[in-house]
Amino acid sequence: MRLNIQMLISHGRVARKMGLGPESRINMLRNILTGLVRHERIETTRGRADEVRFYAEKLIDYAKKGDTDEKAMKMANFWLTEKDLIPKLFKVLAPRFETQPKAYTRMARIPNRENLDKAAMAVLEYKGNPFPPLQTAKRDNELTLINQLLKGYREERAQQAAAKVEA
Amino acid sequence: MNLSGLVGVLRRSLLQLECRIIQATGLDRQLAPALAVHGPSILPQTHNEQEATTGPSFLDNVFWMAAPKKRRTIEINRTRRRDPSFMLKVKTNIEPCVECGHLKQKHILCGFCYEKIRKETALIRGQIKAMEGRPLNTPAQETLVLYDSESPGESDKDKRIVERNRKRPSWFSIY
Repeated sequence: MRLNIQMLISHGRVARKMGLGPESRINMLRNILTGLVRHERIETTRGRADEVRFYAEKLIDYAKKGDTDEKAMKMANFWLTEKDLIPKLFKVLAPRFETQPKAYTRMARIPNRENLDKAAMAVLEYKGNPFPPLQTAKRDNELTLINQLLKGYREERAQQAAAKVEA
Repeated sequence: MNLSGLVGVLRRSLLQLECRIIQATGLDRQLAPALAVHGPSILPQTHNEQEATTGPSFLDNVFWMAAPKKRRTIEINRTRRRDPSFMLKVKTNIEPCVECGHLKQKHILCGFCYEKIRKETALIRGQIKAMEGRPLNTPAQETLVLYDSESPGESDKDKRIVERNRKRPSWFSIY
């Protein structure tokens, strides 16, 4: 928890105010969560993405209990407004994250929206989705001197190994 | 001759005595006022008295208001206007993207690279929509995206395959 002025003013309250009130906030988050479960990668504003993350991960935790569990099914029924996603949640998403204990979602910030409001946007996705990855692994520049020397060394070793196999 | 003088003295003393008796008894005073006037009860004189008692009003004098004493010199004006708190802040968190070279902020994804990914994702989703047919028809299966001349492997048996008619892009590796 960051000890900042916002924390001081809000007296430790972390839930954001969204929409017309607490009920409106839950409804809004429910819609966003349904979209996330359907499409597995969505773009929203940063605040909404941050709030939905918590609920998305809790939903997976409930789904891991299995679809025979009463509470889990009630939760899934409430949070997913499109009912064809409930089997997807229990049969696709829950087994996907069986080995992982915690972090099922990934949130990355995007340049501001092109509209007049220039809203700060974020992309939120479930890990293991079929789409292209947002961040490719950082690879060192191959054209630096050390990397060129190492490349030459690797090629030499490969040549020697090939010569040994032939002999 | 003494007789007339004596008569005069007697007369004066008798008159004095009469006056003293009337004064002592109080019969000389009359109850009605000497002068009575018909007119308004409020005389014009009382207005002046009221104004004089309240004192001068708050906004009468302008001398209590703040005003600059001297002209601010151009040097003082410049130091105030060019204070760093009013100047535009220089951002040090801008750097070129490693992949494409466009500028990006350090904590935000590159706009160009993300746009590429977004377009490809939209095309994949178009394929998925065509496969599903009607809305609200998601199957309870994992999805796998395959490009030209790619075939599903051993572990991809239960997945639904989404075909894309192009070469696999370099930034979308299989692993």
